[in-house]
Amino acid sequence: MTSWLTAAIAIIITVFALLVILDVVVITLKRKRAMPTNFLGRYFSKHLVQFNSFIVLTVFCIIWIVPLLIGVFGSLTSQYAFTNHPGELVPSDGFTFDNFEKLFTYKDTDGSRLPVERWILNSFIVSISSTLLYLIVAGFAAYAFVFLRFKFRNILFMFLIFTMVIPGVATLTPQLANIANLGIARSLWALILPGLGGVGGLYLIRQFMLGIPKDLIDSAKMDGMNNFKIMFRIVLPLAKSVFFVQGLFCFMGAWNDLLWPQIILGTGNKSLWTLQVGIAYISGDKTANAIGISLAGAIFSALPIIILYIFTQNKIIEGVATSGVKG
Amino acid sequence: MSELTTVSDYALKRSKRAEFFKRYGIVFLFLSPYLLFFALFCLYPLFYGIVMSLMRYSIGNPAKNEWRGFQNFFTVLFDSDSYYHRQYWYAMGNTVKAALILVPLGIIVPLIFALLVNTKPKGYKVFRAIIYLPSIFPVAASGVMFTALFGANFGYINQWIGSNIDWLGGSTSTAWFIIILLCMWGGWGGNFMILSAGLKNIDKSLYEAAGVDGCTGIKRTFAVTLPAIKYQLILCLFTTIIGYFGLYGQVYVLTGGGPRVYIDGRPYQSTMTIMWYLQNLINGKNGLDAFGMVSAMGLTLGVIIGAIAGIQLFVTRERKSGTKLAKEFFAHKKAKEEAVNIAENADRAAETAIADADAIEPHDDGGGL
Repeated sequence: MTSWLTAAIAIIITVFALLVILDVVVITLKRKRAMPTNFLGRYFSKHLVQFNSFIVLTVFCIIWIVPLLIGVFGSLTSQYAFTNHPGELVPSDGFTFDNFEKLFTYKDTDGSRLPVERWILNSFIVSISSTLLYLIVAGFAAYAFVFLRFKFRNILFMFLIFTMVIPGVATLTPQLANIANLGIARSLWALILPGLGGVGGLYLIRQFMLGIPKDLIDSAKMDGMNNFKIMFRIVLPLAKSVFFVQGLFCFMGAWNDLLWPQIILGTGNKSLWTLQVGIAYISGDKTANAIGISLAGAIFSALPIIILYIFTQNKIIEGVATSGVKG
Repeated sequence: MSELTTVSDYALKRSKRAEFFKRYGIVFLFLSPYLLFFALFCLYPLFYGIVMSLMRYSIGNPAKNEWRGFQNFFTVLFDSDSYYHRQYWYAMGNTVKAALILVPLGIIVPLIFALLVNTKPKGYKVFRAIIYLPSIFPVAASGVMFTALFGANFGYINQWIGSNIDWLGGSTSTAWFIIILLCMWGGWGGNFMILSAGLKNIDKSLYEAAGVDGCTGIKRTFAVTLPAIKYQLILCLFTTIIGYFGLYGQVYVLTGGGPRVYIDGRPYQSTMTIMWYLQNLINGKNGLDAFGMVSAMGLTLGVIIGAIAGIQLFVTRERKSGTKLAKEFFAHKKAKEEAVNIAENADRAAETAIADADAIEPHDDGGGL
């Protein structure tokens, strides 16, 4: 066991031991009504629980981001360091961007170069277009379900909700045959189109639109606005937060998806793969040669998601919390 | 809009057919794109899947397609001599065992951390963001990080603790341990978020009332907090169960089905889950001929998951969230207080009546009448 790991474990144990001692002292002093009245005494008598949570969460979060640190530091570690000094978080020969360069010249087992830049492009095409298309299609449908009156409206919606119970796995093979019959099996349409029939996002958008007062729409109709104008001038600005959250979910779902692209695109034509499929393929090579490169690929494939998360984390957290949809 | 209206225009406008087209034309325009995609990619595959499961279906060679009746279902469910049957139920057993470990962990641990974050220590928003971060990671990426951590020869963990364990390929138990670890790391952020939101929305006055009654600390957590987020807990329970039936990416990236074991002399992939098995069948050598069988397997699994989801819909049809409980409690408390008030007022009225028998008529303020 390396010395710094022993030290880290010792520090963690000491911190928790001190915390327990502190708790016992504060609680006994409180019982005896002998709390000192200086700043520390006042703080601990009021915020003991918060202090405990703070320490536990700090320790936990440091452990929690270790795999992430491995990812970032490992992708910056040279192949030389991996082979000769494995296990160093900060490599002795310094950080290098070699792995990111090698990722783009990585040779497959048959000696051909893997089209990594095509994978990135494919991932962006699929994620962005499926997000935009779904928002348009589901947005109009949600508008119809909320603000237009027609026969069987509620029955139709109940039916849509009911189909959510059917899991995707039940329709996995027929979907595959369906896509093949439509003649789009070997194109990116096979990744974009099937998601457009999803019910979850429609449900989320409809729930939000139900909160828009009907009087507003009625008075807009009175002013002679048609439904398209109402949709774009009134409903869209009011419901833009739910569109944004649903868009984020769509983008992250499409970007992170692994199973469906793997099944539909197969192993034949690698230039059609998405980034996730490619990274999973590269990571199958578990030699010291490939560790750094696949880590670089992993960081690369997570980068758009991390950037999105940094800028929109409040929206995402709000969305998960209110809708119960897990990103 | 034109201001000129001729009689014929007016008549046309009033006619029922024009009215119908005007109203349903816009409905059709707004709704049809979505319904088209829904029918094509959700409804049609479902019925097509039922048809396929009754056939020997080959996507590569349609000439070989033929009806088999319920033969596929019989093979999957009962025929213990069949390769498909053995593999399917082995994978199902693995999935259920993993779920039995992961589901309790995936609810209790997030609950503990949601409770900790809910005490609002300094910088709790940072903690919240860090805890949720791994959940948005692509599973391929987090799988690569865990492979780097637990790899056999150059993995960080082996180097740090000075061991030489082949975590992922050596034995079934260590391989499952790493898979479960990855599921925990990248999996319970969603539950954590939902439970946190539930805790945040609990009415503060409910706590105050509990404090007045002398209910604090751990006791308060079990008596007040947990019942108040009952709805969120049920939601998490079911979505977690359903989620782990679809366990796939973690297995694919970490072990690829994992160390091979022999049971009764027959080889099994010891970490294969049901989704991994189905994917493997479809992408495998003779997968293109096994579509009927895979459909039958998918439908069988679909019925199981659908039943679980159906129970969830049934259980959560009435949303008893924290606020509602709080409202009920305060309605109850108010009613009780009013009853007490009426009684007191009546007593007081009687007393004044006795004391000033001849004085003013006792003033009855009626206590909420």
